Amino acid sequence: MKTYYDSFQSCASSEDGDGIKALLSTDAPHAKDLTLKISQNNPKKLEADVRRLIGNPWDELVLQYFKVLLAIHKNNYSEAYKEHNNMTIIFFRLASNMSRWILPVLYMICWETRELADKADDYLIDNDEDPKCLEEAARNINKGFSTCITDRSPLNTSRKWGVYYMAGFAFKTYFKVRQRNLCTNILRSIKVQDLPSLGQYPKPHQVTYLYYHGRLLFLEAAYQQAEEKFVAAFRRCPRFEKKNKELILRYLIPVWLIRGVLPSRELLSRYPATNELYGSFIDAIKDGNVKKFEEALLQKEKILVAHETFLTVELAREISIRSLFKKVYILNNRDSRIPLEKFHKALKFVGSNVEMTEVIWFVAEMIRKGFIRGYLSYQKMYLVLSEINPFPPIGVNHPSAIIE
Amino acid sequence: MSSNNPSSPSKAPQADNSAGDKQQQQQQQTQPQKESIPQLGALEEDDEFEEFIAEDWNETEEDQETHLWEDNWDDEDVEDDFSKQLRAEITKDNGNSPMPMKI
Repeated sequence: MKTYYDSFQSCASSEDGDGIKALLSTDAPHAKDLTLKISQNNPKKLEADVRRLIGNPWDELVLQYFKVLLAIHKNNYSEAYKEHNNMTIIFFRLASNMSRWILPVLYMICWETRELADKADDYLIDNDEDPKCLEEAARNINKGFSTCITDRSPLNTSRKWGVYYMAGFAFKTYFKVRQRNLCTNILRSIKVQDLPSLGQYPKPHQVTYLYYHGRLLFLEAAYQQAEEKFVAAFRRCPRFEKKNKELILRYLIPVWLIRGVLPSRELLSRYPATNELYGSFIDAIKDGNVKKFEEALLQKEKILVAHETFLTVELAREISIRSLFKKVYILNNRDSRIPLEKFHKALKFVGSNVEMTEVIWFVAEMIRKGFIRGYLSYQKMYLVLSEINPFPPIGVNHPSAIIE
Repeated sequence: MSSNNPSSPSKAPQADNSAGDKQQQQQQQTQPQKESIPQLGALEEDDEFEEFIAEDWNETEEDQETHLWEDNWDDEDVEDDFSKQLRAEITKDNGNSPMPMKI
């Protein structure tokens, strides 16, 4: 035990964040040994030792940490979580007086509170009770975020450097407990605070934050902004982090498809899960094979709905229609007057048995959205195309991926 | 990587109650579906970002290259079979609707 107290004192006085982090972790290599020693010690003596050898302000925290260890030792995760929850509260009080060096400890404590909450919830589920520990932990994690963003110390030593890590972690947790609406408060706080630009933070913090911010924008159908976030996240994420890369692509591709941007062949070959999921849609758009697009929608419906991307991918059908109509134009010798019946035939050809009225509607929509430049002659049932650029190129403007 | 997808592009068709499902998907999608899908990896059920192991990294490990998207997919190539068949269909003079081709 003496080693523990000595290490703690030394780390505390030298403001060694990584050191303290190891000493307060429930997962650390020393934890098992320490737990054994604690359980063998007389509790009153233990408390006296801690107060004497560790003292203010850390003693309260250390004693609480011991309680967590003991609960884990008994395999009682409900209790472990409860005690860790208390530990977190004590910690936040302490942390508000400490500078940047405390951040590794903050991250670790939030991470572990979540893990223990998960385990406690598993137990509740097994016993047919409502799992509410993670929800509660989310609130604590939010407090962790607050303690970073409200720090007014000079920037160099400010806890503000933990803002994006904590925001990302909070988002992750809110997503898991299906309380995504609570993310907006975090976004709002970040907006109004004076913070260093995102690019100055460690890359892992940036990427996680950008991914979740993109997800939130996607859910609001703010597709252009979502695209910027996803592209930035994708670019800054290392190649070997395959799962995360595929996750970003899972949401980036639909956002691209609806404005006619297609991923490169190279990208698809490097990310097979993405290729598997979106390959048929991409082929259908290239060929103008509307029926193939619709078949892909049917086939992938379950999984796209599970991802909450179905409605977005469905919007991209009109890009495949545009491709088809453009082909008709080219195959019709680029004549600037095209009988609508030809579009009707083309749609029938790909197996899309629509009425003429729908054909007219499709063409009108294409014109309205700027995919086709021209006008409809209803009397003669013709599409009259503009001489110049009747099918403007799509998916060519790319927002800069340089974010902050 | 958890996905172990079959190499062939065609899949065994899903138990097809997709007509009924169409109604479902009209609604607000607040609950991701819990059914597991055979043949696909665990990836599609899990949308949570993994914690990064590295504390930071330099740019060489990232994807700084620009070829994320295809620069000119919207080409005007109509020499493929599909386009040739399409041409035949739309230049037919008779008023009969052609049978949809199996693509």
